Amino acid sequence: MPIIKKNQLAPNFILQSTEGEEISLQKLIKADKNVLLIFLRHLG
Amino acid sequence: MAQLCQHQEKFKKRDTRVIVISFGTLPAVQEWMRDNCDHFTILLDREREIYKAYGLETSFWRAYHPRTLWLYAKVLLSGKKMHDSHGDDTTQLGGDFIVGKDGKFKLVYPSHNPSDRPPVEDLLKVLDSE
Repeated sequence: MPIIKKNQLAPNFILQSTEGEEISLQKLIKADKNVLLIFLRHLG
Repeated sequence: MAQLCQHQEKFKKRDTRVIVISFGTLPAVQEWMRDNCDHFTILLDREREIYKAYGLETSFWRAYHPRTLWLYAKVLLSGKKMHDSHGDDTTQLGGDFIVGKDGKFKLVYPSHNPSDRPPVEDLLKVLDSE
């Protein structure tokens, strides 16, 4: 399991949204946005 | 999550895109959005590859810690409906991360138990200090 630390470069990802759109972290940052990522547990 | 949803404008003002990542199935996520929050972009990570890349653990012990079981009991006692886990792994823990415009982590907050999330005020403070 990687150890993630503050000030480290965030690993890029490309995932599909519920709308079927492909979203990449890199593109969001390039659009000059901060990104808050919320990883959910199971949906219970 | 409900709290975040209420404060969505504050994130917008701070030039921040809120992205929610789930390993649930599309119909389960859509149901969750209807019940909880449909303002944010939700991404699907069925294989949990990004969970792993971001160092988020699965922990049977933490998922079934006595304090967590007590929270579940309180939900049941209050008459609220517990959601079905849809056959998903209930030991996967979540987490919150803020990535700045330079692509670097400004906040790393892996949950240590299922109810462990940073308060919205703390998230806003991190963004304000940028």
